[in-house]
Amino acid sequence: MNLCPRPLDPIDAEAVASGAEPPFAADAAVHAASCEPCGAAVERANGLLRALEGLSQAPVPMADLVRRVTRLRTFSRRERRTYALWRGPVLLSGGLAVAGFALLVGPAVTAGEQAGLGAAALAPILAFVRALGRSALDLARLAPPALDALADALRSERPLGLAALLLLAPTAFGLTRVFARARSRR
Amino acid sequence: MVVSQKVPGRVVAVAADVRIENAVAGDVIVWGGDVSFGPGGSVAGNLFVVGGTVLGVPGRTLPVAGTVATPGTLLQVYLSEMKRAPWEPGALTPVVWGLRLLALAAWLAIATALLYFFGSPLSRAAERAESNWTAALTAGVLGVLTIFLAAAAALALLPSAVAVPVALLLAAAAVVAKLFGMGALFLLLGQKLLESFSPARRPAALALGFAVLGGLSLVPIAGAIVWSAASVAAVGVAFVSRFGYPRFRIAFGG
Repeated sequence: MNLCPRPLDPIDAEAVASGAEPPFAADAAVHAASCEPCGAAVERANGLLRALEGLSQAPVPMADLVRRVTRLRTFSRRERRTYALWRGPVLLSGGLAVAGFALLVGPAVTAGEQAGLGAAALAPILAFVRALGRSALDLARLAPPALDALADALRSERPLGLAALLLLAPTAFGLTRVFARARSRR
Repeated sequence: MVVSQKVPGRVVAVAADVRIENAVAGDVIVWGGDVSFGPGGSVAGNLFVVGGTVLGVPGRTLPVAGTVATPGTLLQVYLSEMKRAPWEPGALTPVVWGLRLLALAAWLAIATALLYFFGSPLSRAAERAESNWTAALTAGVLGVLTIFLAAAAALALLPSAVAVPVALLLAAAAVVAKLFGMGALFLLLGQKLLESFSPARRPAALALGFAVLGGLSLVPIAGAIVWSAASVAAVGVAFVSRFGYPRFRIAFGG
């Protein structure tokens, strides 16, 4: 309930708070100084102004913001499609593969009875591809039973498992501490 | 361990060499040890050796009825595929070098694919590593230790139905972390050498960083140490940077 017989218009209160000319009552500032309820209205308007000013203040930018944004940005579509950009790793990888295959082929291309140089060179490359496939298949097929067998062996040494569990606690705790510290530094 | 009598089931050895002098009816599984065969030794099942080698009897084919698998030792599988080739004793060195170069080519191809599809996360991981090396290295050591201990505890204490998938999952996590982290390390090293962090020069930086680390890995003894240390650091870089996933923070002023 406002006890003032001539309460200030809210726009006048905001004008007084911001130091501008009141649009309705020219003596609004003098009145607010002598009237407690209107003085409080001006004070509230003043608080709102301060809060709004605080919101509009730009945050202090990081010193190297532009450099960081540039450094971390993703590739543009054009950059992805520009071969000239990717030439370095593509050529190096291809060169290493060719050199590797050449070294594999080298010892095999010695026999005079080979059907031809191309066939002789192809044999080691095909053998390598077969070996790669076999190795991956063997690993996928034998890893679960091998782990099962390892588990059988470890289960007979239960203290070993308990020791691992005990050591796990400090290492996991240390890891979480490192993560927390790294986060707080960002 | 010497298998001098017939074994009706399988043989499992951890961190021990195994010599098979008699018949084993099941599989032979060896973790961290070599396997050798005596004249009467044979395996009716599969032979699986991790972190070791298999030595047969000279002049005899390997007396294993099932599959011989030595993960990480592609060379042996390759040599077994090449039985018909005119091998000579001195011809082994170029083959070893050839396989190593092929492995490096595969590494660079994977790192390039990662950069192509995850350019921003990889750059963020490299930036995190650069700004906090200590955290990356510590996280690497602790991360690798935690994975090993968790796998050992799971295998020793949990039933196989749970332990084996958990161990496989942990191994997969370690492999993914290493692949991603190594890509970030190649990129960071190259960017530092080029003194350029421009996105347009990222592929060139990746190639340069890889060339330096990959070249070092070919140096005898020291190369293996450098590559192993880089692998541990790579796991740390991946974990500390949360695989380059951005973390937004909003700060309110007082």
